[in-house]
This record gives sequence, structure tokens and C-alpha cells, in this order.
Amino acid sequence: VTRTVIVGASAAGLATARGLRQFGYEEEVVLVGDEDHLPYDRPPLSKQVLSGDWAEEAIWMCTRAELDDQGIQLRTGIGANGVDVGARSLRLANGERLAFDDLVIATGVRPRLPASWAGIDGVSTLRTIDDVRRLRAALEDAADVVIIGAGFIGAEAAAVIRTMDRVMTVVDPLPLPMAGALPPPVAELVAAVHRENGVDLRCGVAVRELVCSDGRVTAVVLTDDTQLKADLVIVGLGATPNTEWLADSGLPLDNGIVCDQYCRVGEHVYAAGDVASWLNVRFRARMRVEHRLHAAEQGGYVARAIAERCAEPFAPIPFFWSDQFDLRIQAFGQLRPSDRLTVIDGSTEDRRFVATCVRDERVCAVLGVNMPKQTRAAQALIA
Amino acid sequence: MRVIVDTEKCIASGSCVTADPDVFDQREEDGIVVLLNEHPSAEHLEAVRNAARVCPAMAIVVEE
Repeated sequence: VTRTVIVGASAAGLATARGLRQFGYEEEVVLVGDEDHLPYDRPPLSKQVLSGDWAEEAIWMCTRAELDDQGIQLRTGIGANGVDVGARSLRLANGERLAFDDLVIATGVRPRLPASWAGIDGVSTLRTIDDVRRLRAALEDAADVVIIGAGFIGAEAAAVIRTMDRVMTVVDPLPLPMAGALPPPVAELVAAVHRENGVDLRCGVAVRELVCSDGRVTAVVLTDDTQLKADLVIVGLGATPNTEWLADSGLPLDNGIVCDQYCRVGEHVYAAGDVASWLNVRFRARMRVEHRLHAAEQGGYVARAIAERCAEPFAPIPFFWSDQFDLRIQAFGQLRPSDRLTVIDGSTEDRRFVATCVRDERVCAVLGVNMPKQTRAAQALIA
Repeated sequence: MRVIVDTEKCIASGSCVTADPDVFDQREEDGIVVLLNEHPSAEHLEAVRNAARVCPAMAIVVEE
């Protein structure tokens, strides 16, 4: 039997499975995921699902019936714990072995959580639907919420929880929120909007320790000796690629799975989504992208590579967006916080603008706030 | 073929416009999807399928 096995049943894995069928692949397709759920969409978790504006049903990405109809075998609640590349055999957590002709690794990332904070009641990350179910239950009784880390997850969740009328404090050691992703003028705008909406934003200060009572968090102590009352703490400290299960596989691992420009890790092995570090020839740079559109594009690309044996490199313009209060921030390209911004449409005062992001005399990205159509059109300027 | 878009789910990435500008557009003021042609001809099938597959908000459904 000829078979493609996809490890990881989230956006990239499902896009690969669907793409195989779209591009005419008629052999077996098996999708393996360690969560107990059907594939679901993650971006709304920190937004409409956390707030309760959307019921969970809104984020299921497919039904069993659709998968059956397409001949996609989905196995949930089981992870993979090794692969024998030479024998083309995947080892599952229950010891079962699954033979493949082509393997797609789409195991994603998991949130970082300091080991000493694991298992404390009232402390949670925000990555999975189980996390959000737990957070929504905890928010029923929580008056004071502290978010540690003002990146994408932290800043978006803070905006939602503040709108739910909780006392909302955000702590980040960098001088501005989202400073690892956005140039300072845009990060300053994010800070201003959070403060106007009543978020207590504490940047430039780190967390020293969590104070607990009977195994439950009660306060967060900062390095400036401030003690913040906390009924609920959300940790948003970035994510780590899920590659440990490949440690003895011989596959190249370095900040994710190392692929070539065709998303190939080796003969008959591909990677897609957050876990894949590949060579984007358009930017002459190695990239690993943790954004939603990328997962779908790369999954689709790998599907085409398997189904049609095509030889075009995978060279997209990366895209991300973030919604916080009344800001919709979008960027196309390879954005770095140190890029020089030039506003080409709208104005920063109006909080509606499009800017080019330049480094080394090249437009590497375009960034927009509340001007989506114009931002998309401006991506043509990326050189 | 029938194309259905969900303006509530749309996050205004415009990836559908990039995939097929004859079928999709965006509103000037907020970038939300505008469906230009609910029943595109068969030659658009591949591009419209691609638009649905890459949409980061799962806001496009294609009934074939």
C-alpha cells in the first residue's frame, strides 16, 4: 500500500491532507494528532473564543464526515515518538509502527512554561482549546489577572480580558509590548491603546517569583519589588518547536526541523508549519514562521510537492495579523523591530496607516494598521 | 460552483484577492472580503479552491 503519513493534526497538517486530495493524490492519507480533538483553528482562541463571543463550534476546521468523504484517516489522541527514516516507519506513542512512502512533520510548537511554575493552580498557558476552556472557567471567579509576556498571545489576551472588565496587568521585561515583533513606533501605539483601555502595562520589568498559597497562585512579585495581586496568571513567553521525539532520528534539528527550499528534510520526509525551518529563496534567508496563513500555505505546498513532484521552491511572502482593541495590525514580508518605517499612506496620528519597513536599502516588509486593503496592495513594494 | 464567504470570520488578510482577483475583493474601509462573483466559471475552480485552502480565517467555502 502507498501511503502519506502526516504527524500533527492542526492547521498545517490538515492543509497538507486536504491539499493532497485537491492535487489528485489517490493513495492513503493518514493524519496523526496528539490532541483529543478534531483539528481546530487557533487564532480565535486568544480572541473570540476566550471572550465567549464565539462558541467552540466556530473553530472546528472539519468534520469526521468530511474527512471520511475525502478518504483522510484521522487518528486523534496519539502522538508519534520516533521515526526510522531508512525503513520509512513511524513509531506511535502506543508502540505501533506505521509505514509510509512520504512523511510530513507538522508537530508545531508548544508554549514555554518555566518548570517551577508548572502545576500551580491558576497559572496557565494559552495554546490549545483545553487551555481556553480552563481559562474561561477560571475567569468566572477571577478579579485580578496578570499576564506574563506582552507578545502576540499576551497582548491579544490582555485586550480581551480587559474588555471582560477584569483588573488586567501585563508584565514584560522589554521596554514596549510586542517589542520582539514590531518596530518601536508601532509598539508604542500598542502600548498607548492598552493604557487608554485601562490595561496596567508594566514594561521594562521582569517577574521575580509567583506567590502561592495551598498550591494556588495569589500574587506575582516583580524585580522592582512590586507585588501584584493575582487570581489568574497567563504565561505568554513564546514557544518551543516540538522536535524532541525526533532526537534519535538522524534528521537535522536546529530551532525546528531543518528543511531545504523545497521543505524537504530528507528523502521522502517533509516538514510544514510552525516547526519547519526552511530556506526562503525570495528573502535569501532561513525562516521559521509561527503564523496561521503560513501553516496553510506550507501545508498546501508540501501536498503539491508530494502529489505532483513539482520543483518550484517554497518562497512565500510571510503574513501576520494581530487584533487588539480597535487596532488591526498586519504585516507582509520579513519584518524586524529594527527596520526603518516610512509611512506611505494614512497617518500614525489617525491610527490608520501603511508603512514600508526598510533595512539595508531594501523594503523587506510592509506594515499596516487598520488599512488592510491598502496594506495588501503595498506588498508589491517588497524587493 | 458556488462560493460562500463569511464576513464575520474574515480577518481581512486579502489572501483570497491574491489568489483570484476576479472573484474576490476587499472593502476599502476595513479590508473585509467582497465577493465579486458568487458563481464563477469552471476555469476559476483551482484558484478559488486555493483561496479557500489558504484563507487564515476559514471564511471561504466552495460548493462544487
